[in-house]
Amino acid sequence: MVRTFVGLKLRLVANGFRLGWQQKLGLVLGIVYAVPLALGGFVLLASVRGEPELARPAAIMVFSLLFMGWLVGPLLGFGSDETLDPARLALLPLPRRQLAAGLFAASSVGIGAVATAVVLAGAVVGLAPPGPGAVVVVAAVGVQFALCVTGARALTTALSGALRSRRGRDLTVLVGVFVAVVVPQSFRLFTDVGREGLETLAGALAWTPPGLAARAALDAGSGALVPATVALVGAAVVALLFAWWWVTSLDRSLTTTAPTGGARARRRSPGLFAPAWAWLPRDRRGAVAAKELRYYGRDPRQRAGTLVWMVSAFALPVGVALSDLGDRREIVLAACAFAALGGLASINQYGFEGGAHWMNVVAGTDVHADLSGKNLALTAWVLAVVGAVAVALAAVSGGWVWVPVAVGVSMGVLGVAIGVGNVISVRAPQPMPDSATNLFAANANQGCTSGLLQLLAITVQWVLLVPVALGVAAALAWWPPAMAVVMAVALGWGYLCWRSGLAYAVRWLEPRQTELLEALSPRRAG
Amino acid sequence: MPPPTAAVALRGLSKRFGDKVAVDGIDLDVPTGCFFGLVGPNGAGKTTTLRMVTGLLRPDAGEIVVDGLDVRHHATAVKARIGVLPEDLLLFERLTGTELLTYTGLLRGLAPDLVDDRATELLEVLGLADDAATLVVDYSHGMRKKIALAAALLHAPRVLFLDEPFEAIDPVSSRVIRSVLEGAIGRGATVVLSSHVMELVERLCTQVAVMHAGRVVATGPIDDVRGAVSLEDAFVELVGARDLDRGVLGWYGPSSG
Repeated sequence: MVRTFVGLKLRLVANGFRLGWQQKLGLVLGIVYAVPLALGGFVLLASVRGEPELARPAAIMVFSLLFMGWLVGPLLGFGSDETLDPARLALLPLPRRQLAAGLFAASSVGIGAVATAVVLAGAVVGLAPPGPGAVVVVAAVGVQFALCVTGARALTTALSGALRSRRGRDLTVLVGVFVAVVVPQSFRLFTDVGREGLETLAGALAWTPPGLAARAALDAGSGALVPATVALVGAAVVALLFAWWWVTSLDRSLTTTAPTGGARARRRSPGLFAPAWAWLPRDRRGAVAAKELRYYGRDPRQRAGTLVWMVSAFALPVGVALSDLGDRREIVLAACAFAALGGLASINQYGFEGGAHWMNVVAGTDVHADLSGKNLALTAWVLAVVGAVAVALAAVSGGWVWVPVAVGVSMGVLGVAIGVGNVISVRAPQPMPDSATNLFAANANQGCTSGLLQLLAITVQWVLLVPVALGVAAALAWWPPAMAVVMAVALGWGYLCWRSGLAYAVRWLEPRQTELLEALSPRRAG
Repeated sequence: MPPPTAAVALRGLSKRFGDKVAVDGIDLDVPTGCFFGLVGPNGAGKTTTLRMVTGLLRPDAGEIVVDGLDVRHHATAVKARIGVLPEDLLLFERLTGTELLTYTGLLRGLAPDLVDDRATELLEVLGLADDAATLVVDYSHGMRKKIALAAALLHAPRVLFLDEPFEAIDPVSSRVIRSVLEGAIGRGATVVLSSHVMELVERLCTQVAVMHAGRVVATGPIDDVRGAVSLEDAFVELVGARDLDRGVLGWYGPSSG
């Protein structure tokens, strides 16, 4: 049974290379990331030999990070690894002991497991003393590996019901964004707090299960065999508890089905037009705009992008408040940069609709109302956020006079960006597959050409924005009151770009709606 | 020339995907005010035909006239007169049931008050009122079918195209939908449905067309097409299916040696 499962896992890893380019890319990226991380961890742990005061924080931190990685990683990749979901095996006549052994073996195979083993081998090299202590170090490393695997399996299995539900999967996307934004920041934290802070942190982590495993190896390395054995037994007991938790939740997850969203009490529908955009007209354009605004918050794929953009936008005033840039009132104009970034969303305005776009086609909506409704939603949303950021910057710097200028220039910037975006949206639509597990999923079929065209579109957007940026810079440098003129010119330029882009896109799309629909839909025949 | 009473008239309609001919130059007339069944085995070209007629797929060749209007020259006018329930049910599923109907109604250019009234009534009649505030992504397959049907009915279309409308629908909802459709026909609407469930087509439809391998192999009033036998037997004969030899899979069954 163990052989069958390991074989299945190897086959799945290998099949990754036979799928579309993005799975290949994912695997290659996984390897590209895993190799330096594994080698770095190995070198770090192996190099602490003979430096006990360095060895302690290093080993405890690395063991803890490995453990955390194992806990979080599979949760995010839940839907993409078939061997991870026990429910897929529910119909096989397998006793649970066999199933657990097979799944344990399967999780011990793969890129992450190999990388972990390499890092842990570094601990053996760096810490193992001559004599019986070496046995304890090897055992501690083994227990650490078991902790990682059983902890990850127990958590995924216990949560598998929730992760199979739509809400659970939506949530993992947000967790993924959080991890992607927060983890790089926390690395900066490490360098900031310095050696002492690191040692305090390691002291606290020493009492966690991976910390115990690390201490067992450290104590054995320095010859203190009794405390080493105690710590080792402690870590091993936790690993066994994880295993027990896993096996019991395996039973439960095999016999319960994923919860569905329904079965709720009758309540009033909030309606398409939320209070925040109740001002939209009740016509085709308004309906499209309201639907887009709903989707920014509800579609997990769009919500991920929205969230990253918003977090970075509001990080700006915070950063300004913390630095000495707060003395410069013109800093308010920096909000315009987020209009340019927000405008990037316009380069694939049909991609998120996918096959559902037939509803617009069959309704006979005129293309102009459809596209301008999308433009309206994006403009309203980006301007609201940019306005809030400008106000926050003004509160920090006192540059209130610059707020209307920032909003005005932002409107011009958005006009330029959306004008270009309209053209590329209809010429190179790129369907975004509804994948809740892969944030950066893109379609394989026609990806490459469209991807290149979209890169080109971004370049064109930014080239067209150069005059605006130059005007702003010149006015600031020589004569700030001239900013009124710059703003007026930017508004005019933005309006011109938007109108021409919209007109071109509508003329192109009008006779080609079925082609757009086909480009957005999965292939079919019959 | 198609007869003036035809709700839908197709002449020489063709579509190929690569080497595969999906629809092979079909001619078809659907009389106004009838319940018309389009039947055929999987891959016969039913869905492709419906997608072309409803303006979701561009034909390679041929002429489509709906309610007296040529689709090529009056695409928007034709779309205003038809309602569509596609087979794959790709919907804007991050909207609630009510929101989806509001969206569709406003896209169709209906007045906001009219959309609200009709949406409320449709949700009530189709048994979706309790889930009106639930996202469509959380709907069951049957509920998705019903909300898509509601969206297709919202603007009171003269011709309805339904691709496998009764699949995955429970008997109670199925009866409701049937009476809704029969009421619409009584008021002059035309319903074209595709299905491979013969009993259903036999019970509902007055006219049928049998498709096989991209061609229409028989069409007309249902009694003419089936003759003395059941529609299923007539259908199997028309598409030339073979009965399996009894010896095939002989090992399967508790009493096999």
